[in-house]
Amino acid sequence: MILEVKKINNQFVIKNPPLSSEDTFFLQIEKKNIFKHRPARKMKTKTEKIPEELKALALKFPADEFLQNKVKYYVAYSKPEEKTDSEVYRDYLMEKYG
Amino acid sequence: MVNRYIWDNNICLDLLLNRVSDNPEIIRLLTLFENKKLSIFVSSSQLHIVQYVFTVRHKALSIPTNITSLLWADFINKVEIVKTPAYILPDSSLFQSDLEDYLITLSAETIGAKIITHDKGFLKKYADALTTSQVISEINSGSENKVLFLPLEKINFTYRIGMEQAMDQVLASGWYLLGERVKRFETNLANYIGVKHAIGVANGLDALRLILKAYIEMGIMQEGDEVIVPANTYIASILAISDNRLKPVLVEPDINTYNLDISLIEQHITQRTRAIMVVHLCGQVCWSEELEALAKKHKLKIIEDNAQAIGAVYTHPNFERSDDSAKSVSDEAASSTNPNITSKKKTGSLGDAAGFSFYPGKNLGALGDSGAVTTNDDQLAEVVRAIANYGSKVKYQNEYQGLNSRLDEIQAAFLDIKLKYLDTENQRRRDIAQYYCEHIKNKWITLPTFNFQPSTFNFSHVWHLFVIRTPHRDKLQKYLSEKGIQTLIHYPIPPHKQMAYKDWNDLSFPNTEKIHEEVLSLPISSVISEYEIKTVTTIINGYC
Repeated sequence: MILEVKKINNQFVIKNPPLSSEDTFFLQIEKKNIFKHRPARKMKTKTEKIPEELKALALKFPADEFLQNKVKYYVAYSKPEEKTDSEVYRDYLMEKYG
Repeated sequence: MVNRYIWDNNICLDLLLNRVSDNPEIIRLLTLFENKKLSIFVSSSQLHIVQYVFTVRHKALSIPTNITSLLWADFINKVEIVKTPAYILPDSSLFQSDLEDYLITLSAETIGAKIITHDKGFLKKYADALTTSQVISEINSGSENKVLFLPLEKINFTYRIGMEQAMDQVLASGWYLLGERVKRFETNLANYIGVKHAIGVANGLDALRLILKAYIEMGIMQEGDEVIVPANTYIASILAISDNRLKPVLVEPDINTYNLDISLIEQHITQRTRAIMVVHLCGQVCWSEELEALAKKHKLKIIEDNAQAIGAVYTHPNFERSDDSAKSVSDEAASSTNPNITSKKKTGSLGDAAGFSFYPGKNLGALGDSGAVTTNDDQLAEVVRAIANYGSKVKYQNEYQGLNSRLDEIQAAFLDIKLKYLDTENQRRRDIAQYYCEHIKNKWITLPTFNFQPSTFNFSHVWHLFVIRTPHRDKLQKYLSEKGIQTLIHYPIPPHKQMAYKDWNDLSFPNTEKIHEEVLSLPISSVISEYEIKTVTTIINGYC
């Protein structure tokens, strides 16, 4: 089960303590495992504007499927705002292996 | 300078996700890699991470799964995957601090690559981790004029993945000699050459030694018999003869082809002559109807030293010439050769027997020494195979005082991989040779005499070496070296002037000596770039 811990009045409070447990128990939290919570930023609007360099490259190498499909299905991203690549992957590992 | 870079996860994702606003140089980096034909290397340890993050990001933007799968498949086809080695060093600081990055560095080290990343920690901890900007600048400033004579690592790098697989399979098989891989290669080589038998042996010299030794065992030759051999050859051709206590009879070369002058052979034939050893020097066929007639007339064996000309094709002069016929040779060369077609034959199938070398620098080169004997003679094949295996056909029963000269499984597996691409590589060599011949214009230099007009005869040369002549050879070599162009001399001392053959030191072979004094081999290989070919040409043309 996942325990939800919240900081209230400078104290960490478990919001959903397990009902079957003793009244008091201790949690040991390793500092290196504490991640800063970052507020979710709004995703930038995706743009269909293909960089000229990429278009020129695809034109120069018409047999290169990677380039052709890259142009055909082009979607420009800003950096993922909510989580870094590593965080996304860490979540996946946590989900898979606990 | 070899430009090899592994793209870290973040750079791969910048590319896959078009994160131009975060990495404004990502498309520029891709453009540079495309234009310079550089490979995008990715460690096998990265793949699952990149794929997962890419998929999640796409999902978040509601991009259809089939598009995501298509783009991922394109990416996998585009990149070159580098293995993640098992030989980790747990004491390494990067191993302890960031295992993911550590595995990437291990992969990079296997191919001598640097790493492109914008992970600050990685950049700080690993000296060969560079930013996108640094790599762009490094590649742009790296166009040196250094041209290596034969970048072997680069040639074999092309076959890296197949070789890694072969190595793993051979290692795991526990069978390292006289196994299935040698048999497979021998069959494929025999089919390629167009002969009944190919026998893998330890090296090219042994291939020739074994043929002669087998003829002695078969009673066709005996000690003191003479073998005609070109005076202008690598010493191995002659060593094979004298090692069998046969007498090498040296004959002058044609000054234009550097190959044995067939018109001079007959005057050297005596009662003791038993064979003619022709050497297809530099990759050019040395054969003619006259030679065949001569051998028939005097009942001589013809042994081919095919160390340098694997893949070269001899076309009967009466064979109809046309562009179509050139094509048919090419097609035929790409597939297995039909031994019944007598108008066109590959070197190695022309004489009674042939010796091949797969020395690493050869057009078909192993990762060490190895060679082969080819023949259509069943008895010769059987005796050669036995002699090469301690003189034994059945284990622990020795019929001959044999040698130990066997091709091993690992080299056979490597050679089998490369054999499939030999015709393509030889064609590339022809194209380079043609460029040199058409563009090198310098009054001090004599270019190889060769007709590049489209015809089947084009296939009579596989350009193992591109040899020019000049009266100021050493000066030219020094000049080229100062300009960053590596050249070699094939060969600086003729066999008859070697200490090994002291008795011959006073003999005179003017053409041979002139060739040895004047020849210089220019860089030629399947991996030399257009830029390098042009650089060599321009610099040679500037020599005065």
